[in-house]
Amino acid sequence: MAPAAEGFVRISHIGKIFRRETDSVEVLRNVSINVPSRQFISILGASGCGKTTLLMMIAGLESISSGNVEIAGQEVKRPRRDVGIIFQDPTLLPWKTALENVLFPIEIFGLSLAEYRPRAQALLELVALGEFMHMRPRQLSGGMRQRVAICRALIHAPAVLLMDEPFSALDAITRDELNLMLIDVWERYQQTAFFVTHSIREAVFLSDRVVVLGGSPGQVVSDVSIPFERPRAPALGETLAFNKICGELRTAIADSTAMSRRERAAALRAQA
Amino acid sequence: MSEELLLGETHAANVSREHRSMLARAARKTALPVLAAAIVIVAWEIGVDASRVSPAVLPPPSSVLAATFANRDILIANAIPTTIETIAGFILSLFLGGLLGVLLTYFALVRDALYPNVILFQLIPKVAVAPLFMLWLGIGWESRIAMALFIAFFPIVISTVSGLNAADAAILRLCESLAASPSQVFFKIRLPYSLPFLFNGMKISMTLAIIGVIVGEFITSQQGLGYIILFAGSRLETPTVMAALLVLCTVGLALYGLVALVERLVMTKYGS
Repeated sequence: MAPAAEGFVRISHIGKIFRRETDSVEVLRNVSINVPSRQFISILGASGCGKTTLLMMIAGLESISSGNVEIAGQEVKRPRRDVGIIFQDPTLLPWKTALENVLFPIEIFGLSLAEYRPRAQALLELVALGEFMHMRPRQLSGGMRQRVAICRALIHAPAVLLMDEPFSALDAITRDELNLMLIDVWERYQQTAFFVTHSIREAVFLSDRVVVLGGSPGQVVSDVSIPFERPRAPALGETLAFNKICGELRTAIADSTAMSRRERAAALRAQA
Repeated sequence: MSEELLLGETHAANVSREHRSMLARAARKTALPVLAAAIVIVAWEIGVDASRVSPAVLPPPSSVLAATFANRDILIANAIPTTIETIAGFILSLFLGGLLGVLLTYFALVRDALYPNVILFQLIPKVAVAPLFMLWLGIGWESRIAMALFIAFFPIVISTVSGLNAADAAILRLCESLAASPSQVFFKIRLPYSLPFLFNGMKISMTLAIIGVIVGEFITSQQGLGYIILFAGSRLETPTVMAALLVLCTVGLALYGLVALVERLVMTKYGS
């Protein structure tokens, strides 16, 4: 792994414990990831491994129990305006048009809407929503809404793009389509990107690097770089090399779940 | 005739059939209630005529109309203060109820201290305390507006509280991630999301404000449609009582319609 100083986003020895009334749950333990500028990294893991929690800690939306996160040398303590987030749901304002929704961060930041409107239009064109920019969310399909959300996350040209299973609520066909669009958009702007997913193929197809979180509490169990050249085409998914990497990652996930099962069993024995 | 042409014609026939059935539905929605009301009025007229009931007990609709026309100057002169006081009571309710709703939503201390008391307050049978208002505020408009405020403000409080809590949690998280200020969240998110609730509260509140003013007019016995009803009733001028009721219904309908109209205008901007 690269030395810590080189990371644009540095996640150092992070841990997260959720305290409840009677007990506490440790979700993440000692997770360290260094991400150089303009890398596309996927955080892959079974549901409940803490990957969304990790992403929200990078976003400054979730408190950090131990360790710290730094972006561009500054410790993250609260949400930063040079970060764009795409959530699981589109989270669009129902009374705003697609274009107005894309411009919403600009409105909140108090910047000039007129100045950013051409960029918003260009982004919407890029995800094939040029004709729909004056429609309200109700008039758009689920996939179209999530494309609006992609544009909104990019409108202020953030240095870091965070994506929390952005396509998990969509059907498989729409999902493939949006993956291609996302890769198009990303290859054009190339932010440092974190993509949380439980789909192995999606992670490998999109990323420069895939980190597998596993176990309970979640830890980094595997860190694989994805060597394929960009721009990437759908045919990549049919190649042997692609499927070999997918296979390795699948094994890593299976091992980590088996491990956590053994740990749980051991913990139960210790209690008894 | 070619097949295409035939298909085209069938399509046109379908469209016009659809159009016709839409018209029929619309006609049914307005014509049917008007017809039902007309039948009742005609039956009333004929019934009163045939049964020789004293007009002092139940005047026929024709003599109600005649009384309305004959007393038009007095009715209009008294409808004006009733209308103005209702609007004043409503606006005060909207302002004070809205303010209390915001305080209850935003300040836990206020909520814990006041919410149970507000509910308890609401359980007081309001008409029963009207004489107290006269004692405190005299027999002028102050008493009547206070009565309207007292009755009408509770629905505004409740609808404000539930409306301000109706904002989508995911959208609030988005705002947090953009580091939006509390006032931005209030004006750009919570307030628009509360509008449907607020307008429902306002419609209820407007009808209650009229009741409050009429109760006030009964007690203070100075002016207004409530006073006319009481005065004419004591002299057994039943047609005049009903004429005042007719004017009162018209005022009520107009004020309710005004709120509904504003709702419609606002919701075209803030609807989905």
